[in-house]
Formats: sequence, C-alpha cells, structure tokens
Amino acid sequence: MGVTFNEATKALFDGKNFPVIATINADGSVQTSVVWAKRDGDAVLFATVRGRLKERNMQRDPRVSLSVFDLEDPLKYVEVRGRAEITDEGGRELIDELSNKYDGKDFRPEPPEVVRVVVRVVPEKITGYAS
Amino acid sequence: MPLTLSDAVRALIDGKNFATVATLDPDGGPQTSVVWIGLDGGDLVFSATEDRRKVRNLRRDARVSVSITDAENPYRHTQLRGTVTITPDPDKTLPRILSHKYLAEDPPPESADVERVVVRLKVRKIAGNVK
Repeated sequence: MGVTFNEATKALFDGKNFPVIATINADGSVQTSVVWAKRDGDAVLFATVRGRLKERNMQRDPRVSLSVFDLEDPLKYVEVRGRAEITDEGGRELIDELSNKYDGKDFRPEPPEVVRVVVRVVPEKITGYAS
Repeated sequence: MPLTLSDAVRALIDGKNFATVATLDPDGGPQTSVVWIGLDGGDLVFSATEDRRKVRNLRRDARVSVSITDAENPYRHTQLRGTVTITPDPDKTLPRILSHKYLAEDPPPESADVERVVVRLKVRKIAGNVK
C-alpha cells in the first residue's frame, strides 16, 4: 500500500498552483524549477522536455521533492518527497492538458526534436500543513 | 565569488512573495519547504529554528536552491543556487521583521528555549525567467 493524499493535499495539486520541484545535480547539489502539474490518483504528473537539466537529473537520480502552496493562501503548503518515473508516451498530450488547465488553451507547437516526457512522482513521504 | 543580485531579483525578495527552499537530506536526496524571505544588505535571508530539518540539513551541507515566485504573476520566478551561512538570532529579530512584512503584525510568542537562526544565501548561480 503506497502513500496516499489527504483532501487538503489533493486540493493543492488539483488547483492552479505552481509546484516547485527539486532534483539532484551531478555534483550532488540541489536545483529547483517551477512546473505546471496535475494529480493522478495518489501521484503527481508534470511534463518536461528530454535533455533539460531536471530531466537529466531525474534520469540519474529519481529522488525528487515537490513543494506546492496555495496561491490564495500561501501558508497552506505540502511537501511530497518521492521518486520520479519518466516516460515519452503521452508527453505532448500532457503538456496540452496542463496548458488547458492553467491557460485555457493548448500549448504552443514545438519542433519534432523537442521530446516532451511525462514525469510521474510517486510519493514516499508527505509533510507540511496539509499532511 | 557570490553574485550581486539584480534589481529585478531584489524586488522579488523584497516583495511579499513566498520562497521554496531546497536542501539536501543526509542520504543526499532533496528536501523542500516554504518560507518567508527578506532582503538584508543585498542578501536573501530567512528565519528558521535549529530543530527544523532544513537547518539540520544546511548545517551538514550548506548547498541550497531557493525558488521565488512572484505572487502577482506566478509565471515570473527566479531560482537562486548557492550556499548559506547560519547565524544565531537570540533576540528573534528576523521573525519579527518578516511577520510585519507579510502580515503587518507581531509573530506569535515563542519560548526562549526555541533557538532561532538567520539563514543567509550566497548566490552562485541564477536561473528562471527573472535574473
């Protein structure tokens, strides 16, 4: 039985909030970036591009931490620590879905060499007010 | 050599924006949490207590990444990577300053046993769309 999200955590990922994802660099240091995300059951999905720093980092070391706060009430936040699973399939569909969630329209067209990937974060530990 | 921060980045730090701080856990994995931030002498500072995981992590490994999102426009953000210095805050000055900055009120009373520190960021690398 995996770790599950409570209602407050589900609301944070379902809402139009901007999670920050932290990954580990090759030299062991940490880097952060901001992503669009959605919840998929008790996992979090976001889309990125093959070759980007966070993607290369997650391929080398799948451990990630995602923090998200409610833009309307930033004192409500949750941290999800877990492992990232990356797949090519459905990458373009996901970025369009997220673009519609956040911006009400499909994402801009991208050249074929840009490979969109789906990152699924499977939670192992959840902390923060909402946990 | 730490970088000098641009006016745009200083404005993000000075504004009532929330930051996500990423540190390294003992096993080398990432850990994130959300904090209030302040600008002090051109540096980003935040307040924390000794017992917090982020402080224990930073004392072991000072490498950090701080992500700041513009509360007015979440598409504006900066990622500040570097190392921190940690100094005692026995008079609990910084929590008072930050509570007034964000909430225009005093922070809740805190026992003298609770050890406050000032965490100061020395920036080595900046990413994001506000540089």
